[in-house]
Amino acid sequence: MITLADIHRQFRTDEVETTALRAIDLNIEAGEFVAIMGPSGCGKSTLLNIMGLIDRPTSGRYLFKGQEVMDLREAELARLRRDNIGFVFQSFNLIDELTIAENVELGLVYRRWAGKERKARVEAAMDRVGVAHRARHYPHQLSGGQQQRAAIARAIVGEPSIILADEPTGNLDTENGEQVMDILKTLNGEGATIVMVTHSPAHADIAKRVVNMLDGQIIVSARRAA
Amino acid sequence: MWGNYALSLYRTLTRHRLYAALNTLGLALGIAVCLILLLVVRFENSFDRWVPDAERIVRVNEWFSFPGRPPSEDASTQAILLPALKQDFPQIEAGARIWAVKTIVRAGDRQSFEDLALTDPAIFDVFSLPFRSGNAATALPDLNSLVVSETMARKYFGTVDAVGRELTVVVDGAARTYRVTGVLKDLPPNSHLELGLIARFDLSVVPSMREFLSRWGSSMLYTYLKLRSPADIAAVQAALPDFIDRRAHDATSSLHHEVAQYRLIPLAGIHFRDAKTGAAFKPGADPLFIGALGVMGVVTLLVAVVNYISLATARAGMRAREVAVRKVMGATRRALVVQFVAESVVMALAAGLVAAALAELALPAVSAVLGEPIHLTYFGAGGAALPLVALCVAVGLLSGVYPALVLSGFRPAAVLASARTPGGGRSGARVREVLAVGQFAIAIGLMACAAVIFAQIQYLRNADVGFRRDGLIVIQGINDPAVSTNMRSMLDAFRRLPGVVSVTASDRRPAGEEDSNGNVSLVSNPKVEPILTRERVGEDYAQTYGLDLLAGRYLDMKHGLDDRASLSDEVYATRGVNIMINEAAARAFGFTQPSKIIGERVRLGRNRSGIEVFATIIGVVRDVRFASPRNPPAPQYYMQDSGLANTDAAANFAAAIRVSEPDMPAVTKRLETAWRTLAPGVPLRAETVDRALKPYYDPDARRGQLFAAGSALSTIIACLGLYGLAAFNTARRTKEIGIRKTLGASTADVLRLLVGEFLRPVLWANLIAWPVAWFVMRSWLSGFDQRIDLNPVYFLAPSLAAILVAVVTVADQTIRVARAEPSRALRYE
Repeated sequence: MITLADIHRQFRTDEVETTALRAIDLNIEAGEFVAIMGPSGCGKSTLLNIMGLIDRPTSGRYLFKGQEVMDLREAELARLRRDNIGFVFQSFNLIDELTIAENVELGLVYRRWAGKERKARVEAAMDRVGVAHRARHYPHQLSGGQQQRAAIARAIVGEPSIILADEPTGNLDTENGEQVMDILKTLNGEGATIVMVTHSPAHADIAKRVVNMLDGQIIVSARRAA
Repeated sequence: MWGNYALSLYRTLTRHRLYAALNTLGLALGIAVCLILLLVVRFENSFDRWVPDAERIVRVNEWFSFPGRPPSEDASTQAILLPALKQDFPQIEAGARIWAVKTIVRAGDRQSFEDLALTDPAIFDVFSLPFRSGNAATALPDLNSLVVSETMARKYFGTVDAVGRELTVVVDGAARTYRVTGVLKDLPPNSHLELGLIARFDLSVVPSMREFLSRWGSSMLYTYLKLRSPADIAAVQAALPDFIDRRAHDATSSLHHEVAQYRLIPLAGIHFRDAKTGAAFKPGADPLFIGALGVMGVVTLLVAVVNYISLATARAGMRAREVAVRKVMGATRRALVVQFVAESVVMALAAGLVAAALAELALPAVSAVLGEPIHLTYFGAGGAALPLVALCVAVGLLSGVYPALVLSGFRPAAVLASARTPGGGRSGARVREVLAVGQFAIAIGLMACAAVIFAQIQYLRNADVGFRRDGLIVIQGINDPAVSTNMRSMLDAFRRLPGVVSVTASDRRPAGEEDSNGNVSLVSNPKVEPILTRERVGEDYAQTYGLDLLAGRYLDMKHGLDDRASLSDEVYATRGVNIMINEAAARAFGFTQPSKIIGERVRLGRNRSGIEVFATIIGVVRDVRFASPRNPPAPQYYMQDSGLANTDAAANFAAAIRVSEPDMPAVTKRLETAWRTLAPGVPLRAETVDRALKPYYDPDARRGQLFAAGSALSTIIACLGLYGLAAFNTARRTKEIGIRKTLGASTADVLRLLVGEFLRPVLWANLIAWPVAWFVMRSWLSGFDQRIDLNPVYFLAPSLAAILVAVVTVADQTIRVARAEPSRALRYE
């Protein structure tokens, strides 16, 4: 599904240059559930963004579903993203001005789906994560757990082949966190590939493989016995 | 405390340079435009108000409404009006007539045309004009006294100390020697009067005009009255219809209040009135247009203020944290409001300074365009400094209070707990959108008005005036006593000149305002008796002017009955002369089809011997426009007369010379040489028709330019505001754009979204701008007899322009944000 080889990522500001990732080699197979762990600032989110094609590595090779993506144009990256990848963020990143249903629908809009088909899919996705009754509410009218479930609905509505989740439980209480993890586990069980950044060892335990990072490098990549 | 505020302001400004620049520049432009336009309005409004007792001085205008002719108002009245008024109305404290006659002034070996104001000595009782030397009491003791202006004194004597000096002036064909008895200070530019040379009016000075100056049928000069109190104006005005019915009768004319009225025009209103009546001394100003300039000034300022408010509320969110921290540190809401309002006032004052500088830079150009001196003075009476400061403080308060209340109303806990920016974003978005709609409505409306005004001016410039105005030179004064005996040989001499195509003469001319009118009735239907203007023309008139024949034929010397001079009085009285009429006259007779009136006989009235004279209509030509495009051409007839020069002196004969165009300057030189040979004592008064007609077209064109400039600036200011809003909005929505892109939106998707949102207010603005502009322009155009139709293009084009400008304005920033890597947008959470 994803093959990263010798990936480097540097950030440059006026005064300083910081290296976020160095020499990352990582291979993720279809159907895997991978947890990425490590202290703050070790490069977890940067790695996830690169995998999700919303950031570009400074150097290295990246094959997504066997396709070389380093040299793709912006529009082609956008197309790959919307057809294959679902995102879940720590801070939900729902658009304040849109209702829950409209937020969930957004990815399908950009796929140019017809209105009727969109509606059915959106309802199904919301139903699945238990926010269908909040469809016409705005994000700020929902609890954090509900917002995150809505964000998951948005991520899965297009039936992506891979879901990238950046600390999806980071802003949630234990109960809501468990609910979100249950959903992700179910999705993985149905065949979706999931890559999740997390600080929680308990949640990492749910994954089939744990990647540990420090200072922009992968130090351990351990597959758990099934 | 204030030091801290100042520091905070300084930091905010330097950190957000774009906002600081947009705020100051936008407001400064708005204030500058408003300032300049209000200065223009003030100047136009200040006319003659400087004259002592202006509130009880009036000019008597005469209003006519003859059946079959459009009503008209004239500044000139009869010479015998003033004595009659003085007899009948004790309310008149003083009265004076002014007759501006063209004279030739001889000084040494040079001679030139000057306007001589023939007036009553009481002129100095009516107008307390400032003397430089001499005084009102001794100014015009006799018929040979002359009062001159400083400018004239310098021109002819090289010094302003001219009292006692002599000047030769040719009045009514006779050279008179005048002795200077007083020197007037030059009148300020905001005077409707133009007085260079002033002498006493008396019939003996203008013997050839005696007849015209002694009857009610001829309006020749201006009558000014000073009443005992301002309230007397209304009282006298109310009694004037009776006065006309009682007094205005004699052998030549019988006026009554239904066809003729006198109107007392207060001195301060004359400048505006002259826009309609035809200027007495200098072009008047159309009060509608001056009002429009004032409104535009205020509206432009409003646009700028709206910008300021809009940008300030938008910026509010960005300073939320500062507000929250200040509140936590103990600032009261009041203290915060004071801080933000003070900031706003300081910015507005800075903008005021910039505005004054901009106005100073622009005023010379504005003065040149208007042909009127517009100055900006700061201190003393009418100084701009105080109002400017007051304006800036008011603008500062107005634009500072709302954002200050929004900013200071943030709850600190909510602001500090949330990583997001509160307020400023969604709150106030509706307000900003409404403000943007207002701004663009104003900008689009102004642009539409400017487009219509420009189209109308352009149309007038090229509009059909019924004759070919290019390549035509008019020479006035060919019946000057010094020329008239030679008139025929003069015209023949012109005809022989290379480059001259044809030559004619007539007693009307382009831009000449003297008319001779009388009732003309159809023999077949004597009840139809319209008043027609009579124009006596020499041979080749139709060819030289290039008239358009609608029916029948042109007057032609080959037909005996076409020439008045060749008819004996007997034939004239029985068979009658052939005449040509214009379309308006055919209509006045009730003929919509010009061809139907050919062959009709008309009664022209009685000649001097009291015999009734007749004429036959042999041709109808298209209406010729010799004067303002604002007024419809009068119905008239043309009578050909090869003996023009021998006829009465009241007429002002002019020659018209058609020139093959490329030769224009060379031909003018040759004309001058020919003239000098035959009339060495009289300077040549030659002018192209284009030039002569300019005064009717130029003021509108000039004010149109000013209006266009104002509307362009107003649009620029609105765009500055939009640019600021776009910058703010894209910054605020960076995260949203990141999310959308993460979900697969392309750059084009994002662009469409953001630009579309900015276009919404612009599109709404059209709905407000179109009807208002349409209504205003319709009423403006109705002031013109010749006018364009209100075409949708004039409204759609400004809308398209506004949309284009709006798109270009927001596109730059939007593209930048839309193209950025989404992870950047989402990085800071």
